[in-house]
Amino acid sequence: MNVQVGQELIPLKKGPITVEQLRLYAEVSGDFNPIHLDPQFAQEAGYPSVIAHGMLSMAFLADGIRKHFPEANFQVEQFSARFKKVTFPGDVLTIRCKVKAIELSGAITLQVWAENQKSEVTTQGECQVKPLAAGGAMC
Amino acid sequence: MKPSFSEVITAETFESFRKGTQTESLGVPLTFATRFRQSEFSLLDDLKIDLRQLLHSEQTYFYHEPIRVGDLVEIDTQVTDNKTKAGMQFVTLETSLRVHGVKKITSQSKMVIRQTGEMKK
Repeated sequence: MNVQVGQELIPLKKGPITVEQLRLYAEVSGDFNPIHLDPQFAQEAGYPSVIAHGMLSMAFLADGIRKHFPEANFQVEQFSARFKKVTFPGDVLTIRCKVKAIELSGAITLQVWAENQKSEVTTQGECQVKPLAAGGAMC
Repeated sequence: MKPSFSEVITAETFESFRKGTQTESLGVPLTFATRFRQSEFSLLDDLKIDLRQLLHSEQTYFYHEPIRVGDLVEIDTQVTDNKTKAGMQFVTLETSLRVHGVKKITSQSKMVIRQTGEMKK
């Protein structure tokens, strides 16, 4: 499909987040910060329970981007995210993606964000993608 | 700067990361470089930062070249900014992934430490 500035792409659902998922993410990412794994440590930090890794949410955003702009057709040049609200086990995230700008070169700037079940934006990002071949089909 | 460490990327490395992030799309996950954050945590430990007070506020990746299975990735991390404002400490860490000396990915992590602790540079 061709994309247009302002177009919102089909969202992606992730979750509910589980404690087991956080343990698995810690193993594959090497992020064993106990705030994600140890309820007592998390409570001492002021949270009611362990909190999800922000980078797990960013990985969800990445998956949302790549679903629409696959590696076979698009090169990603830059990808950034700001972590605005914490995510807890039990939360369900909706990953949304909107076309912010399209350059004459074909480069596309995307706004991506994660919303929890309360419609709160937890993670907000931006990504620059470029078609690999001139005139390549837009997902 | 932390001393570099290196790791060979295998198909299993990618696959376990995909599984751990519930990645459904094909290819190298865009946040795969986060797998190499142990150097960041080592640096934070050196800075005597209390993880209970640490908030990862922002993350940016710059993709220079693709990484592939079989690459021997060399990783180094350095503090590029460290300032205190309104009782909070703001630290930026930059991690570079290189293969045969060629930079493949730059990862920039911005951290906020809610209470300024004792630090040594």
